[in-house]
Amino acid sequence: MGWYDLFSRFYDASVEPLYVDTRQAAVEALELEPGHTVLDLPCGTGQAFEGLLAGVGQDGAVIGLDGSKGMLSRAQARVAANAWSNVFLGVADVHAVDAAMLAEVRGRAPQIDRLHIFCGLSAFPQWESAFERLWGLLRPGGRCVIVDCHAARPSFQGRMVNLVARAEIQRETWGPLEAVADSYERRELPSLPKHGGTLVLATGVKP
Amino acid sequence: MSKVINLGRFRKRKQREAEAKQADANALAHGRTKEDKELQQREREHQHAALEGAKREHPLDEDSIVQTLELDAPKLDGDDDPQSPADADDEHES
Ligand SMILES: C[S@@+](CC[C@H](N)C(=O)[O-])C[C@H]1O[C@@H](n2cnc3c(N)ncnc32)[C@H](O)[C@@H]1O
Repeated sequence: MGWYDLFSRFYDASVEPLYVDTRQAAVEALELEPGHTVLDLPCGTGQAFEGLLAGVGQDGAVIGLDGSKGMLSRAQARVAANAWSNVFLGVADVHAVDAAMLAEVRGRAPQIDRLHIFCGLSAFPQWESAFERLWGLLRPGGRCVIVDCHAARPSFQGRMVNLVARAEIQRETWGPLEAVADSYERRELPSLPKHGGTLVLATGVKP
Repeated sequence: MSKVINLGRFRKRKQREAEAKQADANALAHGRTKEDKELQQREREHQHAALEGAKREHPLDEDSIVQTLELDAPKLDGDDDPQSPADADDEHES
């Protein structure tokens, strides 16, 4: 995770303003209810926490996992600065995450009501198996929201995004969800050239 | 301040615990106690040491065998060897 640790130092300054509306769209698509537990993986520096917490309320929880310690130390600072008491953080490789790890982070075995995968599947090395793993952690009836950038043939900007975020925006990251979810929907979100491609939001419910 | 749990370490710990459990289960399934295993290990070490010793006394690799034969066997020819049978014959003749 060496690169992402470095990236974490300028991540908020360079990325946060670019995704404000996109994050809001993701939170709305999650259809959160008070008391829900959301798994946010990769949580990065925790830019989604505020929106997610607004949806789950005081009785709900956000479990934020990421493979980069650098990203998480910033997420931790964000949690501390806002005195959020229901955010639970862990360093984890998505390819190894399992229910026991979630229990370790949460302090008890949690039920995952919502899965938030924001700009993760374009970055995970084995993204399809990573999705399967995350999907396996979601409870039946639970909802998953994927947001990612896509370009079948990345422009110069897209190639820069791939380089800087160690991503592959050529991936059709919604595909595995489409194959397994009920009530599946996909739509494009407003995108800027700086995003490097088209922002896509996909959502579905676990049967 | 919230904690960040290192799940890589957690996973390794869980794996070690699972392996230990598996080892116990195997021991139960095969009816071997820890003492049995230790005894068997000691016997194995003993045998190993004996074999190593034997190997040193009777080296089995080809070069060593050739060397050993050369050292032990009387030379059958060679001009510069005063003890060679050929020299001995010469002495008899003169
Ligand atoms: C583009 S960032 C997105 C972060 C966050 N979701 C956001 O929207 O700000 C990609 C993140 O994926 C994380 N990541 C990459 N590979 C990972 C892996 N194998 N396991 C867990 N996290 C990983 C990186 O550390 C990084 O924080």
